[in-house]
Amino acid sequence: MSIPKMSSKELNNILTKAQADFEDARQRIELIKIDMLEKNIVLRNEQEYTFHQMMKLREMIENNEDSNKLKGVANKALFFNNPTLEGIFESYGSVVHPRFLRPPINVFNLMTANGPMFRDDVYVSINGEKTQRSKHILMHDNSPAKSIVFNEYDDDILVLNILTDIGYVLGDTDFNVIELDPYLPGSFDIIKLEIFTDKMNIEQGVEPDFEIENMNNVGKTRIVLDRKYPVVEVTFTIRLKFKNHNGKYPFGLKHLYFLNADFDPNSYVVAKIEKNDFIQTISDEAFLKNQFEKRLISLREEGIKLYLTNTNGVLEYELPTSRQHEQNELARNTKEFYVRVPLQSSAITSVEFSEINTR
Amino acid sequence: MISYNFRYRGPFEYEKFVLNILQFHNEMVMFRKRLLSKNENSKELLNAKEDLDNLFHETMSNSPSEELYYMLLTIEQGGVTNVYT
Repeated sequence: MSIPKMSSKELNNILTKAQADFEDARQRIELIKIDMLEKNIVLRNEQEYTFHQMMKLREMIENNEDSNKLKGVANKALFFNNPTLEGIFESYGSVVHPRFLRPPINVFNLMTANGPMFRDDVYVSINGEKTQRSKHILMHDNSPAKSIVFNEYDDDILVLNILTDIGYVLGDTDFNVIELDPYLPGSFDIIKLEIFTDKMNIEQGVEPDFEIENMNNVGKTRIVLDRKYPVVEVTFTIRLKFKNHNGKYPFGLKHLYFLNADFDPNSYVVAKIEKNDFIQTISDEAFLKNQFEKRLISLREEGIKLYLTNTNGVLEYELPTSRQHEQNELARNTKEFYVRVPLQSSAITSVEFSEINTR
Repeated sequence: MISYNFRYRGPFEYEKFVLNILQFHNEMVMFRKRLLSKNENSKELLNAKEDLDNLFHETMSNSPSEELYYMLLTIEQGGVTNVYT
């Protein structure tokens, strides 16, 4: 039996298939190459930034060798990166805020049984340049289509703009929490954050509905707003502070989520304050630092209470605070106490007592 | 570049031509299999990419710069909880 000969059509098909395979392989290799290069850029900048941070830390240690600054001022309770905190709260990056009553709705990512589904009806521009790629900044981290949004910029001022047309966006469009996770935490300041809820206002140059200024050294954080706003236009004006060896300013966000969250009104956070010596009086004045500002408060008026003991989450023996003409001395053997801060509607970073007198 | 002399070597040249097409196709299939399929025994492109992806996610999920950021923030804010003064 002779071997069947292939017709020229069959040969042509084989050749066409081989050519298509080649083109497909070329494209896939190109995509892999781009992806690897991008990751390489991020890793290189991350490494350089880490070194820069270490140098800063070293400088701080050397400059403060003789002072007690590095040991900390024990009049202050920090609420970030502190595993000893107790209470009903959510902790994210550099802030704590009221606990979510239920998992928040991510405005641009619908959570489905098959994973997150990105709602594409949005324009994201960086320095006025609208690209499809920039939208990935809003995409959920678990989305398989998500790619890295990281770049090196020539100018230190960057404007990130998110624009939607709520007439076309399906589902929930309100948000009251902005969640940020940068690749290089602390490498930039948010000079201005503007939220517009009416397209007409934007066109007519009317003031934004919500505006905050000067959030310095921004890292992984959540910005809790005073109320819910519809997503129409949000603009971040950012100052990049880290310059790499190429003389460029690297910047990128792992994600930027707009969340619609409902908070538990009974939320609070408890931190422990310890002193070396016995405490005599604790001032009623304190500084409460939230995500936007540091303000002088009265502990009594803010409902912040101090307790002597904490037994399995049960706070006992409330301690009195002191005012100018009302000195309340504590029991002689008090070296530590617990501060209970009610969390209403904002994210907080620290509380600092104006004065803790020791014996 | 392969040149074919069909006028003088007709059937032999045609066979060479056919064999080259088949060989090209086979090479392409082998190339794709070698480079673009995951194989435990080889360290080809996809395996290298997977290694880099893992390294990237490990580094970024617990990045040293983030740890340093909290340390610097703690010092700058001048407060460390549970530290005696």
